[in-house]
Parts: sequence; C-alpha cells; structure tokens
Amino acid sequence: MRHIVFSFKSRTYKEQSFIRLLFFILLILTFEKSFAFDTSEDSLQQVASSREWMTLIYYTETNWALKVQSRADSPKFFVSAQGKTSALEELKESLIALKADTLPLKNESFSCKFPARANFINTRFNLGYSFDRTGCVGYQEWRKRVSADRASLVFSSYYLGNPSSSFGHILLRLGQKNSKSEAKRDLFDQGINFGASPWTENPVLYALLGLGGAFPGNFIAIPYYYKVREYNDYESRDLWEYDLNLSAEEVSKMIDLLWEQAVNHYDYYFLTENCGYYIIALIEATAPRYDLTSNLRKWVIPSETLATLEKANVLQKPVLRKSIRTQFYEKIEDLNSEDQDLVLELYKRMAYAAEVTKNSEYSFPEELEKKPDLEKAKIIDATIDYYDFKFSKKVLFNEEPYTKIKRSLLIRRADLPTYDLPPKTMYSEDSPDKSHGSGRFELGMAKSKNYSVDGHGYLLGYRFAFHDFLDHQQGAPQRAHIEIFKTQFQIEEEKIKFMYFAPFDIRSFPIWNRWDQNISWKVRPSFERSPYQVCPDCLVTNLNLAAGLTTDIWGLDVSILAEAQGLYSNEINDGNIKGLLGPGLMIKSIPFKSNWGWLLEGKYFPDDLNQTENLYAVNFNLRYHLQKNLNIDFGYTQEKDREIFKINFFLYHY
Amino acid sequence: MKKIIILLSLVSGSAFAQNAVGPAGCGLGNQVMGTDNQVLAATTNGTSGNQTFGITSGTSNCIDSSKSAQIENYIDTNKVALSNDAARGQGETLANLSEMMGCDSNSFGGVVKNHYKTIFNSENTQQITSRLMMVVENNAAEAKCGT
Repeated sequence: MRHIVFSFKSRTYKEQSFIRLLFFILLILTFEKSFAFDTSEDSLQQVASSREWMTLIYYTETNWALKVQSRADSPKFFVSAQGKTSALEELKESLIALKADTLPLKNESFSCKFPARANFINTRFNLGYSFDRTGCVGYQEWRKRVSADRASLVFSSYYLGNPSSSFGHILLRLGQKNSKSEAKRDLFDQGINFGASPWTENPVLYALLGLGGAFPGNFIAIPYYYKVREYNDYESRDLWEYDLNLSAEEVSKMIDLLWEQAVNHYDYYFLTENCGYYIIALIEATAPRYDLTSNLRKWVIPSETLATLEKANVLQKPVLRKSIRTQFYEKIEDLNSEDQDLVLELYKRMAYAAEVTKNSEYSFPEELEKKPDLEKAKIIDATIDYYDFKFSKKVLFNEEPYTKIKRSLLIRRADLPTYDLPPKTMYSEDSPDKSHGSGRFELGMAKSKNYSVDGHGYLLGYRFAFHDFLDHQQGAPQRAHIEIFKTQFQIEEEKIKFMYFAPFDIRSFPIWNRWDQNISWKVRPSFERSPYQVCPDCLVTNLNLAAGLTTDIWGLDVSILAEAQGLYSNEINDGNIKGLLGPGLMIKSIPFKSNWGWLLEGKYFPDDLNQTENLYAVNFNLRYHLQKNLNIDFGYTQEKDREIFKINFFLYHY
Repeated sequence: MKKIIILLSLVSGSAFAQNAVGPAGCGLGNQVMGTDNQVLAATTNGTSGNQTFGITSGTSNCIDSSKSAQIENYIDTNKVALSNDAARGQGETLANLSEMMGCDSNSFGGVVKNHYKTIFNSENTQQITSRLMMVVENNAAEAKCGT
C-alpha cells in the first residue's frame, strides 16, 4: 500500500483483453492530448493568474508596479527561485516537481510537502492522479492530529492590560461537528494561532521591531483547551466562537494549507500583517469564493476582520465562551445581598489566610454554616470563581498556601448538592462582529466666543480607530476609549486651521466596586491648538496623563481623577514648558442600551499648585446614534476666556 | 468497562513509567508563563511561546497521541477548572473528560464528585490521574463508562 498510484482512474493494463488494451491506449492518448493542451503557455498563464492559485500561494498585487508578490517570506515555501514574485514560474516549477515525484511518496516529495497545491494542479490540469500519501509520515501525523470537519473563528475580547491586545486577537479552531450534544468535545479541538515569535524581552524593542516586521510570524497548532484556559481563566477574557461557512472538503483543504505552512514564515507587522490578516488570507485560500483580503483596510484591526467576514457571510451564529470573570458575575448577580456579603466574607478569610497568616487555616462564616445546603453551594460556587479570578496566577502555578486553601473549599463544596449551573457557552448577539466601524469621519460646525471675539467655522476630522466612550456599545470594549491617529481641522474664513492630532489616546475607566478594584487611567500625547488657553491661538505639544477611580452612582459612571498636563510650545511664556496639575471629574451616561449618552468633564488647575493663573475647562458632549455608524454629537466647552459650541456628524467605517 | 481497563493499563504502564508527558513541559503554566517573554507573547496579538506546538514538530512530548497521555495532559492543563467542575459534579471541562473516557457525563460527574476527596487530595497530576482511573474503574457501572 505504500506506493502512489500515478495511473488513471479505474483502468488497469494487467488485463489481456485487446479491447481493454485498446481502450487504455485511447485513454492515454486522450490524456496526453489534454495534458499537452492544458500545459501550454497560455493555459499556464491562465491558471497562474487564477484566483485559486493566487490565494493558494498568498500572492497580492503590489500597488506600485502591478506585479504580484507573495506574502510568504520563507524561500522554502516556494518551489521556484522566482516564486515569491512570479505566480507563473511557481506554477511551472510546481508542475515539474509534481511530475518528478517518485514512488513511494516520502516526506520530501512535492505531493507530501504541498498537498493543497498538488491537489489543485491535479484537478485544474485534469491529470487524473490519485495520491497515495501513506508514505508522507509527517503529513499523516498532522492529519491524524487535526481530524476535523468544522472550522471556527475565535475572537478573544479586548484586553487593555496590554496595548497590543487592546483590539482583541483572533485565532482558528478546527474540530468535529457536534452531533448529539453540543460542546462536549470542543476543548479537544485544535486551536490554530498565528503570532509573532519575538526574540527580545525588551518592551521598547519589542514594540519598535514589531511595528517594523522584524519578528517572524508562524501558524501554531495547540489543543484548544490551552487557549481557553489562557484567555478565559488566566486573562479573564471572553471568547467569541463563530463556526465558518465552509464545507467538509474545504475544511480538509484548510488542514492541507496549514500543513504547507510548516516550511513557511511571514514577517509579522503588528499593524498590517498580523493575526487578523493571515487568518483571513488562510480562509480565502481555503475558499476562494470569498473575497476577503481586498476588503480589509491597510491596517488590520482584529475586530474589523470579523465585520469583513460577517459581510461576506462567512460567519455563523456567535457563541460566547464566558471568562471566569463573566461566570463569577453571572453567579453573584443570582444571589441576594446577604449571600453576596457572605461570598465576600468567605473570600476575605481565604485571602487573609493566603496573604497574611500564610497558612491554610481559615474558618467559614457562622452565617454561612447555618444556610441550607443548596444556598450554601451557590455561595461557595461564586466564591470559587471569585478566588480563581483574583488569584489566577497563584492557582495556575499551584502556589501554596493558595492552592491548599482552595482545595479545602472544593472539598467542602463536593459534599453539597448539584444544581443546574448556567452553561459555559451560549449564543449571544452582543458580539464583536456587530461593533460599529472603527474609522470615523467627522464633519461639523463650531461657534466660539474667544476673548470676547465671536467666531465660527466648519469642522473636519478623521479618526483611524477605534472607539470612544459614547460610540455605539454593541460588541465594543466596555468603559474604554481607544483612539488612534485622531486628527481635526477647522475651516475659518476659507482658511484651514490645524486643531488637533493625537497618535493615540487610551483611557480605561472600569467601575471600582466591591468585586473589582481597578484604577481608571488615561494616556494621551497630542499636538493641539491652545489647550486651556495657555497661550493664544498657539500650537502646543501635550502629554496628558490621569489616574483615579470610577464608581457607579445612580447608574452614572462618576470618575474622580488626578490630571497632569505637560505642555510645550515656543509661545508659552516663562520657558516654553508648562506643567499643569489638578483634579478632574468626569460623569458619563454610557449608551449601553439606548441610542444616546452624555459625558460631562471638568478639570481645574489652581494657581497655587501650578504657579500660574487659575485654569479650567468644562466639557459637555451629548451623542445620539442615528444609526450604529452614523452619530450626531453636540458639544460645549467652557474655559477661562472662551466658550465653544460644536455640532458634529460622525460617520463610521470599517 | 473494557475501555477503562485498557485505559488504566496504558496509564499505569507507559505514560507514567516513561514520564512521556506531564507537568514538566506541557502545562498551561509553561504555556503562558514560562518566561517573561512568553507572558509578553501570550498577551499580545499572537501567542507563540516555546511550548506551543509547531505544526512541524511531530516529536514534542506535548502531542503524545496515546489516549492515556492525552488524558494526563488534559488533566494537567485543565486542573483548576477540572477540580472546580469535579467538586460541583458538572461542567464543560469535566464533561469533555468524561466524553474522552467514554462515560456518561452526568453519571461520571456524580461519581467524581462523590470521590472528590480521594481524587483531588493533592495537586500532583499523575496522582490525580491514577486515582481518577482507580475510582472510575471501581465505579464503572455507576459512571456508565464503556457501555
């Protein structure tokens, strides 16, 4: 069996029948004729420029020379020395390599190394080969390991703990369709991750080199449960899983395509050629009927790739796989306030034993011991999740006494009754593919009174990405403001005046409550016109930092902050540099369930703290969502000698 | 029942003796926290720590394809979630293990919960695995395994 059948389907020359021999000869002649026809220069050119071949080798058209170039960056990925830049040469050499394969096939054979290409050439040129790949040992192991008829896209939700994960991350999952019971073996699926392999631990180098494509990017297969544990439990990030509209044959092709990646790598660019891009490219190579990569923006944001796939009807219904944090909140919200208090009390006793006395002894609250078994079970279940959420690293690494303390709680839990817990996964429509477009055009008008001089102008602006507090909330990061490359101009008396530019503006304002204690913070470097009127109509470089707390009061997010501004301009008196320190207050009603929200922000920089005159700014914005991707924003700003009214239309795009 | 006996013999015979797979190299800890660099990698646009499985690496001890090794690796990586599920007698992580061992997940969950203290009385993956196997073997009918 360990040989390839380079013969013609269902015909044999062993039989002596003259008729059969004649038929066989005729068949050869027919085949040779078609082969000769199919391999003419024109035909080769036609196949080489076909969408199937172009996507298979990841060719893209370069903008400047109308030439093709493959995204693949390893010479081993190509058969031809000109393969990276010539689809035709790669096809010709591949055809030759396929014909040169000898029996039995071995790991080094073209048909073993590049099964998807071999299959494509075989079909497209009607060669009639039936491949026996039993000799392709590595390939066989791979196919055995990834036995799948279903492919899913998995989106790991936004993680502001690390800037490069602020936009989420996507990976693939390959597994078997669930027949009887859903999600029973999902954890044993294979997760397919595309990521950079950094060779430095220096964060600055990491950022710079990552932006410049200095790290190789590879596809990596790993049991899906690793990714679930990593994202859901360790980082407390929700996962969104979408089965892809691919046939079983297409999924099989995807597995072959991934195998071909074994000899390949890509230069990984954090902004342009990242996980989002290459996973989309892989899906496109799998099913060229989907036009995907051409619909991506130059800078690929993982969550935007979801919108691209949704638009092309590649995605099925979203399934939410809840993080440990989400699971905890689900449980705690199901308890009455007395039981919630007991969860906190029990957790505090455990945490005290782990962190202060550092032994595993702690006692249960008396009130808890008196509870009926079922209620006690629910309180302990919520405490288990909370303990895992708060000490995720400690429990992962079996650190003592954290583990021993947890174990004693679980032993108590095991003696209590079982009841129906909410499922770990569920269909949910509040998914990131529904998020608004992250690019935003701004068009509006401003009327200002500046030093008693009235003025008005038109406003033009553009934001490259991604989300602010008042944008539509569906599928977007919660209580986060992440804006990249925001630029604004004002047209006054037919002159365009530069007003504002910020390369990034990141604010994380989570609610500080009894369960979550995270500070609110902001980082915003900018180049802007006359902030806080530190100088009249001047351009100022500003580094704005803030830190504080946000709490929920009557359904409003109320933040108290310490604000710092580092301002630099030639037109600032007393040395070009001015530092401002002072308190800030922000109150906002975020439009979670409604079409509108508002935000009131005040900052005060007192003279005795800053050795300058009192400066302040009050800002109010009211945003109405005409549609998810069309908003109208009313703004009002008041400063010492200036007030500005603004009305803006925001048009969002993917 | 047969399946369980086969599994048990596989586990006690090969994987444990040779330590083919286990906490040494495949655990989630190594996956996400092996070095600072891996933390960085794990939380960025793509994870690619050294312990992850390269598509090309067919020899990594992390992908020992024997069922016993898969079970032990699964328990090792999912220990936190699995022990939670086991104490509750239900949950996805437990149900997946039950499925892998050819048992009815509800019955299996009940048996594991009832013997929780026996199975999870340490954090050692090999001990947990062997005790789980022992409990399941002794209660195969109740756990509805291999039926």
